[in-house]
Amino acid sequence: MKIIPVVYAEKRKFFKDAVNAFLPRIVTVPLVQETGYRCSSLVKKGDIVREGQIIAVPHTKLSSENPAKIHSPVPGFVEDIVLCIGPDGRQGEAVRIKMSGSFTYLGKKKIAVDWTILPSATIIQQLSDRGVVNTFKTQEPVSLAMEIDTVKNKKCRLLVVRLYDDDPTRVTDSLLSSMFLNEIYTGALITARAMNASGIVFIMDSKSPVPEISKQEAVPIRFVKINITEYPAGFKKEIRKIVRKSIRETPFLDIAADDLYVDAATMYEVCSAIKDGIPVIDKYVYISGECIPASGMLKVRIGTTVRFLAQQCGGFRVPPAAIIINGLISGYSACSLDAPITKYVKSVLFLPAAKVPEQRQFACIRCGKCRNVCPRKLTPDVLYRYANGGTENDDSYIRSALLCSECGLCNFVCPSRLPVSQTVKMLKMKQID
Amino acid sequence: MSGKSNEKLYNKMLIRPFTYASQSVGNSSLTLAVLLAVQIFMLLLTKSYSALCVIGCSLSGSLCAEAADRLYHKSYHFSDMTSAVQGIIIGMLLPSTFPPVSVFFITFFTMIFLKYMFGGFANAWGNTAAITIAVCWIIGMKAFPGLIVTKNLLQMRNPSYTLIQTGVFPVFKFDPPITEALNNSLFRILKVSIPDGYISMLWDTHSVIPAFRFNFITLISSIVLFSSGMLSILIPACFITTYGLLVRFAGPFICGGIPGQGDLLLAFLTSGTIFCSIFVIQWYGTTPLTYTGKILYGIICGVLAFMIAGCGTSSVGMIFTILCANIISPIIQIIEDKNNKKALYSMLDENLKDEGIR
Repeated sequence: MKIIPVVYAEKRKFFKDAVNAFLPRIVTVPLVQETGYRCSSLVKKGDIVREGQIIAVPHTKLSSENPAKIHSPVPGFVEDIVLCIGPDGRQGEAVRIKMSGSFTYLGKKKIAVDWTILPSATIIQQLSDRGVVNTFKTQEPVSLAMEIDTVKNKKCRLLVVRLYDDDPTRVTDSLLSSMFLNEIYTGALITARAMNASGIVFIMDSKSPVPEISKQEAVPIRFVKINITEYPAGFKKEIRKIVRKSIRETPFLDIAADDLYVDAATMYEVCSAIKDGIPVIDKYVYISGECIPASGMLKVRIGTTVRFLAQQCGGFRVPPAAIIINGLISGYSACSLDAPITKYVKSVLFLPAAKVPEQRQFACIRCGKCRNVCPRKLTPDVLYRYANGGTENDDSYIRSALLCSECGLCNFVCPSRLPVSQTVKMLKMKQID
Repeated sequence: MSGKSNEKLYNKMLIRPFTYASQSVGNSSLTLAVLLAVQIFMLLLTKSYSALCVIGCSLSGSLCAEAADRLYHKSYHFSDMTSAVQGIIIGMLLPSTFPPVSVFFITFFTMIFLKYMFGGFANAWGNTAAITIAVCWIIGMKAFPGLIVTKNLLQMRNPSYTLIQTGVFPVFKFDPPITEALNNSLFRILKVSIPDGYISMLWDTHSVIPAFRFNFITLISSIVLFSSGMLSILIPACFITTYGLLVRFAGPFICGGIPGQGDLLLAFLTSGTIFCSIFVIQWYGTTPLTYTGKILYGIICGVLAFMIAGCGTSSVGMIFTILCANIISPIIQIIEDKNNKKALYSMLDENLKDEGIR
């Protein structure tokens, strides 16, 4: 396997340009790419598929639902429908495609569509058909079309675009924002049109310069700066707080939790899907870690294995002891090098054994660190004890789990290495149910 | 990528986060054990075999209690290292003249009893090591050295210097040259000087209680523990400051001396104040949880230390100080919980509305 020169030559420094990853000969496309929807395959073993052809559609209870469809990332033929463990550790069916034949989009000239004349319903339908998934919450990716449908019924609709990563150990959205700001901006305008937004707010790093808006747009647009070095800075609550503080005018003052919150990666995909008409068949993924000689942003075909990406970055100098997907704080650990890249993967980090933290659990030592660090002023230790058979019987107290933003700071400081955040999330889910 | 490392990936389950802002209990216990091992090594160097014997017995007592308890509580997350640390601390706080066999049995039964009563580890609101030593004191009070300082001595300007001169704290050969070097360099800038003997006191007080001896090593240990974040400095800092202020100002006032001339070195170096403030005072589960609670706890400890241990040379003063503070700690924690609930309720409805949760 050759090494991509641009990535390798930089010797682990932050490089300016993203590069296309090599095309894998075989891709494994999981049939679960968003939370709550399992897709059923439209293809069977031996079928020939085109690049960008719909290969799986989600099961829906209602015909009005618009979950994201899944497309073939490469042209070729279906080798098999296999069982595969996704990057989030969940097992499910996947379509294995062996690449062959000519490409529909790769190497072809992009024909820009005038999206400004498209009606809202058409844009929403196209977002669903082209498989755009909102990865604002990487742990819970959801179809953007469905989210727009939900928000559309609101009186005041704001589109909030986060231009940085919620997990400070990940740089994908920040890099995309610096590389493709025009595309992200266009994606935001398309989304705003689809949802009939009352306004667009771009939340950006306080150190980044505010881009100039040359022409008058149909919706009011504001840029709000936030200090992204202070964690958590990328969650809905923190964003609402800074928007209310920074912009004292309607409709921005009415920002609410049920407005549409999106990230830079999603907006880039919206632009690509609607303006260029290309379905989601690839993703920008940031590859890094001490195990590989180079780090960089690669445009990766969905279904490419993590192993294949590592080989392109120069192979393993040190065998990885853990593969971390989507950041050290809020990500997950992939259990195999054969885990495929999905629509919700933003970064891959290869950790050597020396960097893998000790996670042996002890009983709670009642140090109070989780209480003192919680940005929502919750008592994670009490909630954890309750979930583990504790005696707390005050319903209101337990109801406070609903306020948890799942930032994971309680886990981050816990000397006993207890899964506090996961337990509080479980309680939260129970409360919502 | 070899098949072997692949297998490792499959077998090892990790949950987020994959980086931490604090040291794990396992790492902290290991570090504590290593730092205590340095003191044990010093005891070996100074041929304090009886002290080593006592420490060995308390260590075995603690580990046996842990092993016995494990038979009944199989689901517990125990750490042998934590038990070992507790055992060493007990041994170091006991006089070397204490009968070793008694140490083993007292440690074993006290720890078993406390584990049975509270469930072990951080569930006990009382400090297990302190309770064990208190039991030892009740059973073998004679083995513990009595107070050396008297009211008359405390009326003097430097009681510790008087004790050095009378040979209570022996002076090492290396003391005068180091003292001279310090007086000619560092202290000269500060326009102060120290007499011979203080360096010896800092290095080794020759107390029969090993924890009271190597104050300099204990101080170095504290730097390691605080700088690495394994221990919080908040409670020890509040404790030492409060105790120091009371010794300096209130001590001489009560004893008929001149306020502001209390002997801090005597108070800090001869009662195990430094050792207890680092290794004992904030044992798992015995302290309040909030910053305010911890500050209050530290201050209360300081006041109690002054009332119980006085101005120095008390053999179990610090132990009873910690036990008294342990009794107050649950009260602080109840207040903390009440305040916390009150604040939580007031923001709950408003925040749930903001979150769009009805």
